[in-house]
Formats: sequence, C-alpha cells, structure tokens
Amino acid sequence: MSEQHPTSPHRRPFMAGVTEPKLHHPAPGAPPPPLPGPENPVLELDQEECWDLLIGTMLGRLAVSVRDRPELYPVNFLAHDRRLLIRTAQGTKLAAATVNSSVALEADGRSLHSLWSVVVKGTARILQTQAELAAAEALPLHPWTATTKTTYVEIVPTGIRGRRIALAEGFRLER
Amino acid sequence: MNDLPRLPDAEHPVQVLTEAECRELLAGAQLGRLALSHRNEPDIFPVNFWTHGDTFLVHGPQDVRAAVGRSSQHVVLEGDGREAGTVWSVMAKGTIRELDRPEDLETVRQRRLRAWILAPDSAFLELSPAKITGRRIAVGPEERY
Repeated sequence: MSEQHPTSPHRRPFMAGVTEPKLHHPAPGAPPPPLPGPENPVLELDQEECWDLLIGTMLGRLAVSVRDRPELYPVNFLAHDRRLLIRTAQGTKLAAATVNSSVALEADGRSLHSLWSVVVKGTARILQTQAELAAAEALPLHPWTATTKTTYVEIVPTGIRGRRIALAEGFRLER
Repeated sequence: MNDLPRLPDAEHPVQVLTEAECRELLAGAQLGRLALSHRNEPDIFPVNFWTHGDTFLVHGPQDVRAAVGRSSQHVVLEGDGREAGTVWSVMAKGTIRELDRPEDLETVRQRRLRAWILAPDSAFLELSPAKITGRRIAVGPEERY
C-alpha cells in the first residue's frame, strides 16, 4: 500500500488490493461529540462516527427493492475496512439482492436520552473466489442465529448517513 | 393443556409466528424501522409506531415524510425484540399515506400519541398492512447475553 495509515487487527483488509481509507483521529483533549437535546433534537453524524457505531454493532436490517417494492430482512453483519459483510443462508434475501444489487442496511441503538441510526446504501455482491471466502471466514462474523449460514455477501457503500435523535421524556431510559 | 409459549431451540431454531402473535408483539414495541423504495432503490428510516385498529400509525422526522412522498408508497415496517435466548422480528408490509387531513389529525390528537422524537417538524403516517409476517429465532450460544 502506498499510504501510511494506522492499522489495528480489526481493520485488516479482507480482500487483496483493497486500500484502507485514511483514518481520522480526534486530537487529544478534543471535546467529546455533542449530544442531541431539546434545542437540537436531530444531530447528523459524520462518516467516522457512523463507522464507529457500525463497527460496534452486529445486528442490522437489509432492505432490497423488488419491482420498486421494499423487502426487509434482519441480518448479522460485520463492518470492516469501510465495507459491510453479511453472512446468510441461501434464500429469498440472496435472490432479491442478485436481481437488484442496490441495497440499504440500517443499524441502530439506544442510549439513555437518544437513539442513533446509521443507514448505508451500497451495492451487494456474493463473495465467490476461494481467496475471498477464506478471508471472510477468518473474520469474527458469527452467525446471529443457531441456524447454519454459509453464504457471504459484501456491500460496497455508495453513501452513508447517520443521526442521533433526542428521545422525548417518557421514552428515555432510566439510569 | 400447555399454555407456555412455544419457543424455538437449537433443534428448531426458527419459529414462524402467526399473524395474531405478530400483532401482539408489534403492539408492545415502540421503535421500528420503515423500509421504502424510490426508483427501485431501497431506503430505511427509524420510526416510532403504534397499533391503530388494523392499521399502524407511524411517526418520524420530517425527511420520512419527503421520502414517503416520492416513494412507491409500498413499505415494510419492522419491529423486533429479544426474549429469553430468542429474538423476534415482525414485518408489516403494505401501503402508507401521510395523515394530513383535519380528521386524520383529530384521530392522532384523540389517541394522545406521545412521539419519541422532539423535532418540531415531524410527520404522522398511516400504514395499511396487506401482510404481516414474523419469526422468532433461537440465538446462537455465543451471542447470548
């Protein structure tokens, strides 16, 4: 690779020839990211924050369009190297993504006073070559369910959008 | 005889839920996700929703209104949760419209729906489901917590 960049075991590329994007690290002593509140209830997240949240999440929902109608499936995924990897069983989900490779994946979570949601739009493809499959097998992507899952689908993002939304009183969690 | 709910296990990891079970689970959920399609490309938004007779009232930030407006109006609403070594996921598939007529807004007012989002510019929508499906899935042991 031509560029100097920090690496960690979690960011090792799983495909040959993939270049990691430059990572952004906040300056030491920088203020923590702002939180949404009554005066600013919807906070757009930058790409780095979106990826941080995705890396810490394993359950998401995959949407595909079939004849301009959405289908939605719960999936377990791994955010890695600015891509998403999904492990799935052969079935309708795959069939739909093969017909129309434009997909969206959403993950979200809740904290005391806010909810975050990140949506990745991108192009899905099934990993085929032995090298790709071996590299994917080596990643810590465990099946979410007790069912056997053997097919890997990779999503290369074309866009990412994330936000934190303040929760109204009554929807906040108790400390 | 046995009133215990059927729960999936390692031998039968996926349990298909009846529509009644699906509706009951959705009635107890508050946060969900709305999937829609525009020019054959999908998008997903987190939303707040409530059961309303046979339909669902959906609430979300203003851009949900815009996205629904330009979508094919065919949507999927998903809710899910965790229970005792299992996760459930329910999908309500149907068509959606914005609640903007005075009588619609009166309905919303009478229900005293409390939206979870504080944004002043938000939208109420109504989803008429054509099909509701759901599954309960046993979670692999390494994922239990």
